[in-house]
This record gives sequence, structure tokens and C-alpha cells, in this order.
Amino acid sequence: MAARDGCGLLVGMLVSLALGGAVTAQSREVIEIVAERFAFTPSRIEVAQGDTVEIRIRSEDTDHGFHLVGRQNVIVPKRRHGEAVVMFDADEPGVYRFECSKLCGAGHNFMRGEIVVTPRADHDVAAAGQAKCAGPDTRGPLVEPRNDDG
Amino acid sequence: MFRRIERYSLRTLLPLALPAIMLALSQNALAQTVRGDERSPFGRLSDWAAGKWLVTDPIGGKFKPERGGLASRSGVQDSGPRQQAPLLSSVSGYMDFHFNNIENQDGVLDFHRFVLLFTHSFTDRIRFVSELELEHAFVEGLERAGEFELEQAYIDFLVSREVNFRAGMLLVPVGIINERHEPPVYHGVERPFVDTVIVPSTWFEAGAGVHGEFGRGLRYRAYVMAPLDASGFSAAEGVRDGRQKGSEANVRNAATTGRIEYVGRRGLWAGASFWRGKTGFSFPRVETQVTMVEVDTRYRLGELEARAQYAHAWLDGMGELNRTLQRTSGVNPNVAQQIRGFYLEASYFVLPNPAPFEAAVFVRYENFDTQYRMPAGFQQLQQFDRDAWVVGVSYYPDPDVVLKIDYSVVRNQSSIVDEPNSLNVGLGWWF
Repeated sequence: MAARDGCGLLVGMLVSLALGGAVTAQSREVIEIVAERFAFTPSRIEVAQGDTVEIRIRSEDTDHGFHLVGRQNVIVPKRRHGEAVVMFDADEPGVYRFECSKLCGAGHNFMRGEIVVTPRADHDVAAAGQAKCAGPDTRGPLVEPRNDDG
Repeated sequence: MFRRIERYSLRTLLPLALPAIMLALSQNALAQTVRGDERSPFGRLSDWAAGKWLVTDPIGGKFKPERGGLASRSGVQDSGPRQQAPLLSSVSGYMDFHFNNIENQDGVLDFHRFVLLFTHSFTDRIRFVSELELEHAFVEGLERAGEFELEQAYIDFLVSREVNFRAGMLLVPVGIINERHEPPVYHGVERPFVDTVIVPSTWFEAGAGVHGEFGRGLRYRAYVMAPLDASGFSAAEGVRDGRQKGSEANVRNAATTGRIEYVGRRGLWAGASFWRGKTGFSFPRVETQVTMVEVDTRYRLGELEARAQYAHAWLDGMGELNRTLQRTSGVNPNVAQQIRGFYLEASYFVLPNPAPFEAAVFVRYENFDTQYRMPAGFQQLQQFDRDAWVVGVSYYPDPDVVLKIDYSVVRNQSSIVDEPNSLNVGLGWWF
């Protein structure tokens, strides 16, 4: 019975860990995603409309794919063989799905995530709420937006 | 006729009904105009097939390998775009080639696993995945031969991030290894003992269910599956030989299984799983049931990785089952009322970035008992209360190719029966 109770406790801990909201991108920010059998971490990214986000994806094991559905698909190279970089212009509010596009094992279909683009006004309200708790953000822009064709 | 139908509960019929529900829901999802960048799915599919999205793509992607393709701390270097269209069908696989030198026995060369995975995307949201495995290289209808198994063959109906459906031959979502068992992702030539005799990996069954993800990396899977068959339970290997493996599986009483796991923090994986189902269909007058719970975690910090897993199963009705089998076959299988096991593992990459190749050392302690608690009137045999130390090295000439060497020291609590130690060498690869 102790084992059953322990299992229940762990489930509770997992739920509380997950209740932290999504990763929030700020203007011109770099988002780093780790791909590993069988998850992208983070798997949910929030950005404000109008932002440009550089998404860097690296693998902790084999080759993966980063397929932003309806837009583009890049290979994420194997562990310690580099990273894939995707520039994302958050032009319109909505949910943009991404998924692993290279078969990587038994749980390949679990490797999915989404980018949530919220209207600028909504995003600012949410950011202000976070700033009250965290203090002023003095980081400034991290990466200049770039044209991916370059 | 009606009596016959009444014998099947709603839970039993669910695996049959779920595929129809899934198809309807996924078609509904396809018929909707989806949000954001997603256009009408039929338009999108035709564009996809034509590769149009590659040339009309408003955003860009670059592949940035590190210099020379090898690890480097000096930044990244552009090598031009490396985009490609997602493949509709693909083939991958993995192989395991072993040398096992067990104490007081002759050494054995064994091509343990030859596995091919086939996938096909019917549409963006309806996908087929399969895994076909040949074990021990050779199959014939006699004992001690290999196995040719269909370990996975299911269709995923991807509806949303939160709710998706799948049906077919599924991996039971219990433990670290069962769903994630490609040779380069675990240390040691053989899989952990706990993932063999407590969690009977590779554990697969016919069934159907739902899976999805909420919030910041909280995932779940919940399936209805064919149950275990108690007639295969044993003293040494617990429920392992009770797997029906989706082969004309009896579903008079279906089993339920599920897993919840947290994958929202880099380097941390934590999960809890359960399995519950009646198992006595081979003996209609004997009420037996298996309930298994399992918790596990993996944590990586730099070059260090730690793993822990605990699994415990309650086997109800085993006293009556033992007596029934003794009456019918003359042999008392002495199946336990509870079995349990755990392991702790630490590994460290001693040749990490920027070395051209990688190597990790590891040590694993396992403790597992397939006679942890016995039914009243049956004797606990100490030889099945075992523990093991496994130490070894995993050398990676490529992240998808691994050469493993380990030494296993296995002990039990019996003063009569010895467990042999073993030296194991393995070559595994994924492609």
C-alpha cells in the first residue's frame, strides 16, 4: 500500500510541476528547444504578435526533424553535431503546431509542440503581471532578427 | 446470443468502438479550418504534396552544424539551408548484437534483436506506425528458438495537443525502457532485470486509447488493452509469460493502463504508470487480477545522468491459481502474491564534448524479488529474491552507434542456489 500511496504522491508532484504556464518569449528573444526521444522541451512557447523569435533546436540523441506544420521542416542534427535554427515571425495570432518529422523511435508521434502567438495587447498585460512579480527586465534584445534567406 | 453479448462489458467493447470514434473525430478535425498558419487541411495536403510550402514559406530555417561536424565550443558555422519535405513513409530500425559470457557456461554470440520500423502518414493527422522484431535471429516452432514479433502496429488519430487517439498493437506505457528501448538510449548490454522480470518489457498488446499533453510538459496516455493470461505466470519471471502479445488475445475482461509523465524541464523526466486487469480467463472459476504501479525518473546535469525506477505488482488470487494448476497439471508454479523491484543507475560521460567520440561509464544497482509476498500456504523461495550490480562502459563512435561492455554480479538470498555472474559485450545501432 505504501507503494500505491507513493505513486499517488508522485502524480501530484508531476501535476504541480506542470502548472507553471508556458515559456514566454519576449521581443527578439532566442528560444532554445531540446529534442530527445520522445519530447521537445519546452513543447509550448508563447510569443507576442509582431515578434520575431529565433528558435534553436538541438538534439540530445539522434537526428530529429523540426516541422513547423504548413511552414517548414528542418533536420535537427544528432547530439553534439550542431543545432537547427528557425526564425519565426509571429505575424498573426494563432496556434502553430510543430512536430518531429524524422522517425526517431517507438514514441516518435509523441514529439509535438506548439507556438502560441497572442495579440500584442494580451501579451503585454500578461508580461506586466509577470514583471510585478519578477521586477524590471533589463536584459534587452538578445539577437537581431535576420532574414533566413541570407 | 444475448447472453453471449452480455458477457462482454463496456470496457471490453471499448477497444472495438474507439477506432470508429477516433476516425470520426479526426475527420472532424480535418474538416475544420484550423487556426494560425494552418489552412484548410485539403489545401494544405495538396500544397504539402506539391512542396509548395517550401517556396512560399514566410519564415526561414537554417541548419548550423558545428565546425567540421564534430563537437566544438567555438560557436556555429552556417552551411546553408537543410530543409526537406516531411516524408509520407519511412523506414528505420535498430539492431542489437551480443556476446554473453555467463559464469560456468560457454560464451554465446547472439544477434539479439533485428528491428524494423515502418511508418506512413495517410494525412497530416492520421498516421501509421509499426515495429517488427526478429529476436535471436532464427525462428522455428520449437522451444529455445527466436521470436518474430509485431511489437507495434497502430494508427494515430492526431486531433489536438491535448487529446489524440490510437488503436492497434501498442506498447504498454509502463517504465523507462518499455517505450524507449533503442540500444543507444540505455546503458548495459542487456536491459535492466527489473524491466525484464517485473515490468515484462518489451510489453505490447492489442488495444486502443488516448494520449496527449497539457500545460508545460505534462503528458498522459490511457489505454484499454488485452489482459495478461495468468496461466503463463511463473515463480522466476513473474507475469512475463502471461503476455498475450495481441495474438488472438482473449478480451473477456480488458485491462486498463496509463501513464502520466512530466517532461517540461530540461534534463528531467519523471513518470508514474499503472496496469490493472483480470487475468483468469483460462480458469473461469478462478478470480485473478494483476495491479501494477510503477514510478520512474531520469535526470541529466551536464555529463552526469541518473535514473531510478520502482515497480510493484499485486497478483490477486494466486493461491487459488497455484492450487488449480497443481490439480490440473501436477505442477505447482508457486506464483507470488506480490512482486517488486527497483534500480538506481548513474552514468557519466568521460569523453564528452569536444572529444570526437563519446564514452560513458555507468553503474547500476538492481533489487528485484518475484516472490516478495506469497499467498497463504505457499513457501517463499529465497532464490528469487535477487539483487545485481552492473558496471560498464558505453562507447559511441556516433550518437546512433554504441559499443557496450559490462559485468553483472547477481546475488540471491538462497544459500543453496547460486546466480551466475556474466561478462557482456554488445554492439547496437539505430538508423
